Amino acid sequence: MNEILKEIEEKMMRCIKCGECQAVCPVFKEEQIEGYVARGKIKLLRTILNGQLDFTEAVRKRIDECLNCNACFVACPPGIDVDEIIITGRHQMRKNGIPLLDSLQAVKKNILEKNNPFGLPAKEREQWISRDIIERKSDNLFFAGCSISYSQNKVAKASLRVLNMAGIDYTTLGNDEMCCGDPLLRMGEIEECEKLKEINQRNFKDKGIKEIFTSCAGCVKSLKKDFGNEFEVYHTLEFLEKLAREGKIEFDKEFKKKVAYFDGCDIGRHAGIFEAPRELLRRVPGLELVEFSKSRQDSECCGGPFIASFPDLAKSIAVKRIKGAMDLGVDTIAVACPTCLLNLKEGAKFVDGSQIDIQDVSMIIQKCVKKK
Amino acid sequence: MDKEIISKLKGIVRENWVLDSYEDRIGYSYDATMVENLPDCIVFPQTAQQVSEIVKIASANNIPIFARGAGSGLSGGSVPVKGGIVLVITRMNKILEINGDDLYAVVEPGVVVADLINEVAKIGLLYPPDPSSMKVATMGGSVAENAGGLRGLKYGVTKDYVMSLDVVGADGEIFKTGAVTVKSVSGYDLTRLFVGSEGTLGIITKITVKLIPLPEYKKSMMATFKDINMAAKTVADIIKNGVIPATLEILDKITINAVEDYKKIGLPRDAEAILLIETDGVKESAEKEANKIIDICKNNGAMDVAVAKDDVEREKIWTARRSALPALGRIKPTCILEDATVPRSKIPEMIRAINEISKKYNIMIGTFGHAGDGNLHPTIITDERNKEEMERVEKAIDEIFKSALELNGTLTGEHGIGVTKMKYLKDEFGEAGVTAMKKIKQALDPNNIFNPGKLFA
Repeated sequence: MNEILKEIEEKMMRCIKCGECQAVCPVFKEEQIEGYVARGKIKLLRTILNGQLDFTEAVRKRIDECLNCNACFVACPPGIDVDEIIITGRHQMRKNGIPLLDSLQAVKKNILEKNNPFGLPAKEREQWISRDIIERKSDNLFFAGCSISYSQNKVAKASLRVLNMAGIDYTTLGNDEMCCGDPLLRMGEIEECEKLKEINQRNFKDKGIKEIFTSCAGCVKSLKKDFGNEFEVYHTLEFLEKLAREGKIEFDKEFKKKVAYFDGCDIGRHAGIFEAPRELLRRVPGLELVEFSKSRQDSECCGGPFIASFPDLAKSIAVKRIKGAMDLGVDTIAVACPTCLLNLKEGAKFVDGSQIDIQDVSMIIQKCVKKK
Repeated sequence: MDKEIISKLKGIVRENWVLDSYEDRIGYSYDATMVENLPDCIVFPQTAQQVSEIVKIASANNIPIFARGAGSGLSGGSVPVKGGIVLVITRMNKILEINGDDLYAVVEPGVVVADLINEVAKIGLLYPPDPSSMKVATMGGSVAENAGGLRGLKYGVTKDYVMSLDVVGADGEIFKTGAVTVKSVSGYDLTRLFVGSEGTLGIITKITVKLIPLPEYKKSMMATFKDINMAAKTVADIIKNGVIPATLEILDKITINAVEDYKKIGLPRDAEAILLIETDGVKESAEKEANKIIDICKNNGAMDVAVAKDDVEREKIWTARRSALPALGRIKPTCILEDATVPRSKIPEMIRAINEISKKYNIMIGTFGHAGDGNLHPTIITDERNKEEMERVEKAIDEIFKSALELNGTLTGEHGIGVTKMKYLKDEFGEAGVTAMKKIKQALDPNNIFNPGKLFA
């Protein structure tokens, strides 16, 4: 009974109930009730393991309402990986036959049937990229991911244009690229996620690649975790930063704005990439780079993971981030994640007087780079 | 809980701010100790008037009330051991006034301590009490427990800064204590009574605290010792030489090694003790005091005294101290933090006693804490699933308190009596002392509505 949850009981036991997670949890800041913060969630799961509670509707809501941002992990004195605990809790819920929220059920169906969370035709995945790139050989694989392929290919095109200029070769899988599986992982659909991973693994091997780079923060987190031992995995911005450092790309146009770089949770806390985007932005002439009051490991989630499941919370959290940026007097928030881009843009609509522009770092780089 | 009572409570604070589901009651059954019990319901008032109305209902129906801030307490103070109502004050979180002319701030009890400190710092002022939990702990909780902190040696603790309170008494009436003037001897000093009363005499709904000018300059250093007695003598000598540093902390060998395993800062693993010291104030005097301290450390056999040259190095020193509990907490699943406090001169004996107790009961204890004021934190590292070991742990804790009292010390420097130290209270104060306290409780809260099951066994 609840064997999956039982396996992490010892990890949950390490919670000393100090309550430090309350200071950093974006969901607790919205709900203000103990059951919504890491300490409270762990207590509920341990009570289930003691046989004194079931996965009732109230429990499910509290386990579902987690951004998996892991800000709590950073604040936690015994360093509990709460993200892992929540996903395990959700995995147990799936195993127990507890259905997904309708909105997430739709996302799951789309990924399993059409290989993307949006439900758009699977074969349109590779339409934004030219055939010859898909067919050519290279040690470097560009992993597009679903968001980039279907709705934000501008971001990828911007980076790839710069790579082309610098003479970097790469290939891509086109329609053979499977969703990295992160949306399924977050829902606790571990087995389905494993299947996607296996297909990607086979295709990576068949392509004969050594390095993988991606412009999607969720994908870089997943790929690093799943394949980091077999291949070098980078975010595209790390690739671009290396080129800039080696003098292979230069900047000759100004971006005369006050810019704050927003550390998305997947690229930052999870994948450990903080400096490359900043180094790139620092090289752009005229750009004044400032920091959010809480940045890097302490950065606060944009609310994006709730876009499908809890849209009201996604909005109210994004509004708080926009207001934080307004306090800094910035013109632009620079992001490196398609979900942050989407949700912060949405949040800005609901903040009166907000003139803040939200852009992916790669767009700024591409605008200002010296063309060859 | 009676449906009618729930209904009345909802009438006061609005429907969604009264919780009584099993799942929500679980969330309010604990604090940061192992003490646990389910409440009957949880209420989140937003005004003093609402608190007053809630207390009136509780009083009329003999329902106990357990006030709660962030629930980060270390003695079971906010745990609803008799069921009843948990009254959470976190929605009462406004800073009402910061007065830079008369140097005080007025806050609602739900203001987070660190938020107040940060806010007054913006105008060059300091609210000194800095408990390690200040990023989550509330002003209400810190007043009810008379919280301390690293700055306690030089600046004192919460009770030294509370000037005035608004309190809701057992009859639901709101009354004021103290004054916002620098001096006042009007009537009984009820402010001093309520600070540290652990929620057993009334519910605090407004707090006025004294502020002081923010020190302009800080200097930090770390001194390592091969012998813990030398470290302890250093502490005594610093004070004897007329220097009161802002902070004077100690880490023992077990703690040093735990921190090094966890953070790899470069602490010397063979050191028996490390002293972490900070002077602050006007630059010239902070520097002078720091130099005196360096000399005293060296004269007492310090292997090395590393002085921080800039903010980055300063941060490294205080990361070592802040990492003590996290580091110890990573060794085994269960970590029990204690609070035994002795006069400063008795620190070497107390540390010796702790080490002997650790050997006697074969349990791991790491000790760190506020060497400068005698407030040590022996931390027991164990596994709550090992019932046999937990029995030894309990005996060890008993002996730690016995040792502290024998050395003319006190049961608790900062964490409070709560539930965890109730049984020892008469050992510290005798029957007569405890009776005197009970008479006050009886007078102010005759029906034992406020936080019953705490303080008195």
